Order: sequence, then C-alpha cells, then structure tokens
Amino acid sequence: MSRQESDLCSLLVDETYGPLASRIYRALLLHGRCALPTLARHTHLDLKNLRHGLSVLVQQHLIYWYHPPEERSATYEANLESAYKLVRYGTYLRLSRDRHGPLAERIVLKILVSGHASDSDLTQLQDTAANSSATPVLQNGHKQNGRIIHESDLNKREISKTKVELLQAGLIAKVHESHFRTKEDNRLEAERDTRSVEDFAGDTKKVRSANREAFVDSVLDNWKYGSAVMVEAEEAPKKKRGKRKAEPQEPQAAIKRPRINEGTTGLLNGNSADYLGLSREIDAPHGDIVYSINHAKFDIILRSERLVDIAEQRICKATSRVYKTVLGLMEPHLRECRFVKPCDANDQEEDDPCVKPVSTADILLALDDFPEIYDSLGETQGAGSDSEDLGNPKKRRRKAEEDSKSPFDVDVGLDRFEREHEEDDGDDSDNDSAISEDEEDQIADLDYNPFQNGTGQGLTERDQAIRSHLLLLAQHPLGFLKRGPRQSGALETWTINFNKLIKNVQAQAITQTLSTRYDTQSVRLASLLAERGKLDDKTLSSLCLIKEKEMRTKLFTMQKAGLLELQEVPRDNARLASRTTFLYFFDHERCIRGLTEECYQTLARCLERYRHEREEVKTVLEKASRSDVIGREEKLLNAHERAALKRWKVVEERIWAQIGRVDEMVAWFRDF
Amino acid sequence: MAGLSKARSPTVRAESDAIMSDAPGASSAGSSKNAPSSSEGIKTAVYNYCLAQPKDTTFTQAGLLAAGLFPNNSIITLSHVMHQLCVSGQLKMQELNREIQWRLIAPNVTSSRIGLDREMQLVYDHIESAGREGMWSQRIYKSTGIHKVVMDRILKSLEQKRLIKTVPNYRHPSRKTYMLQSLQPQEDVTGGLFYTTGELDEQLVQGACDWIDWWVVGQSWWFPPSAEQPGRKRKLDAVQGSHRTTAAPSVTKEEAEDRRAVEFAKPRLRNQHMRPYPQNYANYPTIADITNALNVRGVVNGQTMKISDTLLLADILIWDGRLERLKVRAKSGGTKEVYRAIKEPLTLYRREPTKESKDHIEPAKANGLTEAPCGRCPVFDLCEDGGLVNAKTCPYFQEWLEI
Ligand code: SF4
Repeated sequence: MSRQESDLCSLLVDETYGPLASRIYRALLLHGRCALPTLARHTHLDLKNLRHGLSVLVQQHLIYWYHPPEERSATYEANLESAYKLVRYGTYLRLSRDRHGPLAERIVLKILVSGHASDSDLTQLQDTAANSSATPVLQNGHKQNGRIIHESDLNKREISKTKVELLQAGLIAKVHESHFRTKEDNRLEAERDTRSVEDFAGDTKKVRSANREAFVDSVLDNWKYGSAVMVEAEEAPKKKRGKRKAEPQEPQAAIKRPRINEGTTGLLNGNSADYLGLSREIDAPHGDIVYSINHAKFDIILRSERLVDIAEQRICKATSRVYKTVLGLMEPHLRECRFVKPCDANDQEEDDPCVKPVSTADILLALDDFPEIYDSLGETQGAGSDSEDLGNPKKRRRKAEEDSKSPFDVDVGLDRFEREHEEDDGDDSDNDSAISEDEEDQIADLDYNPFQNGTGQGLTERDQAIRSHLLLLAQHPLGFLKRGPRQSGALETWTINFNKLIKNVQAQAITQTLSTRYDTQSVRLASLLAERGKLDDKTLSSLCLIKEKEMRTKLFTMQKAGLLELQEVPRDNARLASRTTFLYFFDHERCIRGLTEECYQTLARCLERYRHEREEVKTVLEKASRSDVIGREEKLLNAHERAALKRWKVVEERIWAQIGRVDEMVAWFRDF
Repeated sequence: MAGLSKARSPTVRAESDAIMSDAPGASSAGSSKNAPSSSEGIKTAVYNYCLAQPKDTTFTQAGLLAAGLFPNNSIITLSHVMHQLCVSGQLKMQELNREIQWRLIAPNVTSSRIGLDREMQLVYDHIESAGREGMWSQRIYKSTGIHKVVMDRILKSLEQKRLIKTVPNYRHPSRKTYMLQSLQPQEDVTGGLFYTTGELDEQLVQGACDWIDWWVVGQSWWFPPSAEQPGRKRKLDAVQGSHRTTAAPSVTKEEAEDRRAVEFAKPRLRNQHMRPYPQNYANYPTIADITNALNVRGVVNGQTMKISDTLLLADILIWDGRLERLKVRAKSGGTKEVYRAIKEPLTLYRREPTKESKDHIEPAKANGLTEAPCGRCPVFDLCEDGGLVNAKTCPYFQEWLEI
C-alpha cells in the first residue's frame, strides 16, 4: 500500500460516503486492523456514531471485518481495492447498460448504491419506477441512450429476467459471508471448519495434509465464486450469443457516476446492524438471496473492451469486431483477469490454464455478419492471398518464376553476409513447392495455412474472411491471439496468453507516457534497454545513434524520474568513479509501480480540484437544485449564476472524463 | 614493387593468414643451398628473397634458415644480417608469441623512414602496428616510454612529413588517435556511415529513418484507390502486386510515391486510409528489401548502405514505435523477418512542414495520465493537499480547465 493509494482511497470514501465514514476509514488505513474500542480511541468518536459509520463501510465492502468465535469482539480492516473501485462505478453502469440494457443498469446501480441488494430489494425497483418515471440519477443515462423505459416494462418478470442474465454473465454474484473477510481470515475460517489432518485419506501424513490443503482450497474457491453461479455461467454464452450488439460508445459515459450520498442514508437506519456483526448467513430475513457486484468480472469485460479498442487502433475495425467475439466467448470461463499461478508467475511463455481455448467453429457461429468482414483487408493481387494459396501449385510456380525474373533484384552492393542472410531467409529462392504437413507443423506457431490442414477444408467465403482476421490477430506482435497447438483431426482452437499481451500493452502505455513527457529519443532509449537488458553508455550510444552528450542527459532525466535504473559496477577495489562502469537498465515492474502511484496521485488531485470547484459554485448549485427553481432556471437565476452553472457543468464533465481516462491506465497497470 | 606497397594493408586478418602460409613456403624453399658468402651479398640475397614472398609475409628464424640463405645456416650470421637490415629500415622486427619475426617494409616507406632517427622510427613502428585501428597518443607514450615533450615533437614532425595523420575516433572524441597517412580508418573508429569526422550525423539518421518509415508504410499497408482517380490506383496495385515491387523505381516509382503522399500530407489522417494486408501477404519488406530501396534511391548521401547499417536503423524505428517486426513464412519454408509500419505511431513525422508548424514532428498523442495537468507537472512531487503547492490553487489546472 502506497501513500498515494491510501490518500486517494480515503478521499474517494470521503467524496462518496461523507466525513464520518471517511474518518473511520482513514483511521483504519493508518492503524491497520483494529477492534471497536481501539478504533473509538483513534477516531475520537462515540460508539453510536462509530457503529453507524462502520455499518456503512461494511455494507459497501469498503472494510473487512472478522469475528473469530474465540475472540470477544470483531476486528475491522480497510479494503483498498473496493474503495478504489468507487472511481469505476460510472464505467460499471455503462458496461451493464451496453451489454444488458437499461434495466440491468438500474439493477447494478441499485446494488452499487446499497452495497448489495436482495431479491426483494430488486423487485422494489418496480415501485420506485412507478413513483417517478425515472429516478433523477438515471434520467441522464436513459436519455443519452435514446430509450426511455415505460412503467409497464418494469414488471417483475422483466426484472428477474435481467437479474438472471446478469448473474449468468457473472456481473453480479451471490454474497457470501466470506466476501466480508480478508483472504487470510477466510483461510483461517475454512481451516477451522475442516476436519483435522488425520481424518483425510492418504497413506502418509504428507499426503493427508496435502489432501486437506486441497480441500481447503476448494472450500475457499466455493466461497469466493459460489459453485452454483459458475455452472450457470457455463451455459450462458449459448443463450446470449448474437444478442450482444456493439453499441457505439458514449464519450461522456465516463463522467456518469452514481451520486450515492442520497441513496445510502436511507439504508443505514434499520437493517445495518445485521451486517455489523453477528449473523453468519447473509441471506436476508425473508430467505431472499443477496447479491453484490462482482468486480472481477467487470474487470474482465472492461479489459475485453479495451483490448478491442487497441486491436482497432493497431489493425482495423473489422478485425477488432472479430476479436470482440473471440473475447466474448472466453469471458464466461474467466474468473479473474490475473491468474496467479502457484509456482512461477513469471513464466511469460506459459499458457494461462484458465483461458479456455475457443474453436474456429464457435467463433464462426457466434459472429454477427457485417459487411466490412469482406472488404477491410488489403488486396494482395497475387502476393500471397488466400485464393492464391488455394490455386494449383503449377500456377504458383509459374508466378514465382516470373518474380525471380523481374528486374527487381539489381545488385546494390549486398555483401556476402547479406547473401548468406538471404539464403537463410529463403526469400529469393523460387522453389515454393507445397509445404509438407509436418514441416508446416514445425512452424505452426508462426504461420498457418488452413488449407493443408483438415480443419480448414470446406470453408465458405465468410468463414475464410473471418479466419483471415483471426490469423491477422495471431500474427500481430502484441500477441492478441494465439493459435492452439495443432492436432490432427482436432478442431482448430485459439487462445490468448493474457500475461504476455497485457505486458506488451503496458509497455506501450509506458512508451506513450515517455513520448509525451520527454521525446521520441527517450522512448528509444527505454525500449532499447527493455529489449537488450543492462548496457553501459558506450554500447548504448552506438545502438541508439544519439549524440552521447544528449543521450546522457536524457538517461539522467529518466533515471531521476525513476523510470530507468542505474547500476554501478566498480572495476577494482578502489571504487573510483573513473574506474566504475555504469550500467543502465529498465525494470518493467518497477516502472509500472511508479506510474501507478503517479496515477493515484493524479486522480487524487483531480478529485481535490473537483471538490474545490464545486465549493466555489456551491451557493448557485444549491439554488439551482431547489424544487421551485428546477425547470424555471431561465427566470429565477440571473445571468451570472447561469454562466457559473454552465461553467461548472463543463468543469465537472472535464474532470470526470479525465478521471476515467487515468483510471483506465491504472486498470492496465494493476487490474488487467 | 610499387603495386605491392600500394595494396598493402596490414590488417590483423592478413597477418594471421600470412603466418599460416609461412610454413609451406618455407619447406618448398628449403632445398636450395646456394648461399652467397660475402656479408653484403647475403644482405641483398635475404632482402630479395623477402621481396619475392607474398606481401605481408612474416619471416621467422626457422623459415629463413630453411630457405638456406646463410652460409652453414649460421644463426650468428643471420642475426647480424637481420639487424643490419632493420637498421637500414628495410625490415622490421617484431615479436609474436615470444618468437622474433621480421616483416618487410615497403620500399617507398623505407625511403620515407630513412631520414628518421631512432626514436622517430620507434614511434612510427608503433603507430604502424596499430593498423587501421589507429593508436591513441597516450598509448604511444606508454608503450614507447619516450618523454611527452619529445614525443609531441616527434609526432608533429611525422605529421609534417605526411607519414602519419590524426583520425577522429567516435567513441572517444577527445582522444587523439594516430594512423599511417596511407590508411583508411576502420569502421569502429569512425563509427560507420552515420558519422562524419567522428561526429554523429543525427540529421542523416533522422532523414533515413523517416524515409524508411514512409517507404515501409506504403509497402506494408494497402491504400484503397482514392475517389479522385478511380481505377488508376487499383491498376497500380495490380502492377505492383505482380512483381516484387519493393524497389522497382522504373515501373512504379512515381505512382507509388503518389500513393503514399496521401498519408504524409495529413499525418493524423493517414491511418484512415491504411488497411491491413491479410496474414499471408508475401510482400512485407525484409531488411534486404529496405536496404535495396535505400540504395536505389540513394537516400543516405548517395552512399551504399549495408544490411548491418539498415538493421541499426530498423532497430531504432522499432524502439521509436514506428515499425514492427513480424515473422512470416518464407516461400521456401522456414520463417523470415519482415517489417510493417505501425498504423498509429507515437509520434508522426511530416515530410513537409505545414503552415501551422515548421516542425517535422507532430506532438505525441497523450494517454490518460499525461493528458491530465498533473501527468506533466513539474512540481508533481511537491504538490500536496494543504501544502504550498496544491490542487486548489494550481495554475496548471486552471489553464487546463479553461481551454
Ligand atoms: S495539482 Fe497542479 S501542482 Fe499539483 S500535481 Fe497537479 S498540476 Fe501539479
């Protein structure tokens, strides 16, 4: 936990839930885990207020609490992750609306506002809808989307249908008691509930304890994800396939965020005591199921969305839409963006075992047709297009002969090295006889020819077109897609090595930051060091072709900013500066960490400025929100006030849009 | 003889070749036993023998004895004669692997050495031994042990006699490096193509990089025929496609430039026109293609680029985020590395300066962090809520909000 992060989180809590909650939250951040009496001392609050504030925080998952049976009282601990997620609520709403319609957005909002909601809470949505055609909070969203929900739509059936849809998509999940505890506490609890080692099967003690360990893990897993929900989710894609239409993204969506202040207060009164303490089952009094937001799933779909954007940027729109389908097929099987492997998480090449490969056939089925599939790729006119590959080998050979005769290969002084190099490439050789299947297999990871493999046969024009987009994705150096290992007779499958892909995208984000902050040459130096490892400045300057003096200043600036690292290697025991080699290197992880902290601080400053700006126009805002003024602003507000209001709108929009953009960076660096 | 001396270039490699060839030569000459008797006669005979050998041959004691040039194969005579030859500046003694060897000094050089005194000769020999690498003045002091003042005088007079010269060393620009007048400095002294007089020519590098980027864009992305000239460009593509066009300037040069002009006129818009080729597109340029194209157009001051030079530039372009490397299947099987331009590079380069700005570089597109005022803030670390620098009174924010 860095200072920047905790500052930001307490600021967010303050902004959303008011000073009482933030005071407690800040104290918990500062002092770590506390029991009630200690906390009272730290916060200087009386117990009534403290309980009140704690109940809000617990309810919103902003703090963990744990009450082990043998202890007298419960302890509380701040939850940084969920506090940070407050920034992302607006995005959650947009995503749920884009994917599952306006009603889903309202359900998600309801859950966000109250931390969680039971079935009966959700059905009450109907009543609120009946009272006012749309709540003020939602008004915006609906109109922006061009759809207005009519009361009649909001019947019970609709609501429960949408709810099930959300559940199946994994965006909301049943709350389990364990969600309120830290990982460590959960493990303790699970171990407490499990039989002792002796009761497990196994010949030796080692085996028995391993079995027990596995059992505990599975219990934890069940607690975390819920067994039932996952099963449902497995079936989800089949039902929904084809429903997801790409809706144009709204640029202002990022600034939409719930104004939760009004919403929460009502909930704090009665049932909050339930959460404070004592019941182990979270089911609401009437046996309802309680739902909460599944942040991990939102991260996954958010990541897909961003990846699709990048694919569009790097390749083209049509390809990105194909990619969207692929990612959509993978989503139901992913529980978390970052799969933490028990042993070595560093192994970049290894496939993520959680990514379930999808077959070409599935993709073909799932993809909605759109005209650009066919004509968004360049025309190769015989330079190795698919049709050319299909054509008979004789024709190809003739073409190759023509090629080799073309006047292109004038001698321009390629020296011997180049010739050898060329031969190695085999580029100019005109022997391009059909490649045998097993040779093909050897380079399967790099290049694919569907038509010599059983899987590719009988493809229609549409299939081929889509497949060419898939191949393009797989070819891209960022690693958008990876073709599964080829087995004869098996279906062609595609996976994604998210670890690698995300690392590449992160590197892009870093270079982009460098290029705006400094210049291209700094980018060059950083990428060079990232690729080549530790280098001294002599080698560096001969590789980067920047004047040595300039290069040194650039390196120094970046090193001072913590983006590059410097290592001193003395050449002898004297350790004189003149007898020391200075090696520069680039540490991806450290750089990411540094930038994430900068993002936190930037977010905090934006929020601070936002609050300051709001303070400035406070009186006008208050006046404008009076019930007698609403709708008659023209008459009742003077020109000055109207101008201030107008400016405020711009400022608010600007700052929140920026917060959304910075949050995107944080997501890349931390969550995806 | 004149020919011999002209072609003379004592590189390390030639030297080792010479040593290798020494042994067979010696054995073949070993049979002749017509040794002259007078001291002068022996000297001339030995010198002539040495002249007759291939250039840059080194002579060992054993080799010379085997040639049967000395009466009774006397080692004393040999050392005497060889010493005399060295003193007269016709041969040069050196030590290699603890063995004494001699080398011929080319006749014209010999003549230039004649006027030199002992110390000068010593210095000259040292400089000569460094070959095309050149020798740093400090090293000459160290290895000859001559006093600095004397040395400076010697070096100066040698330079005046046009026997040696100083060459720029790009790695150590402040060091004085000496080399024989007749030699061309090696590439790792001058730094190669991109260095002029030991200084990096950044403009040249920049120009060549821009050109490569521009050229590769046209080779690795497809540009749909524009609306103004229907048919023409499509035809052009057909023409280009049927050859491996990369650098066939006679056929399509004009049209190809035409086609690429689109995206460089309006850099930010260029990617609207760019369409990817399918994955099995065979004409992505290889490094050889790029080199070819550079050379055909004479982009780099009309000099001939080698693949290694182009690779240097290609690496730079990749690090700059303007090109990417793909691995594709070569026609013959196996894989080859090809290059593709990045559709939306970090910074874009204009070929022509526009009205708004003379700069060739378009400002980089910012990301979420650097768009915010704090992401570019010079006092970021000092800024604190309630501190002297804070968000409430921040002028950068003010400016940012007013735009
Ligand atoms: S608030 Fe202003 S002073 Fe503080 S970091 Fe941001 S830009 Fe800099």
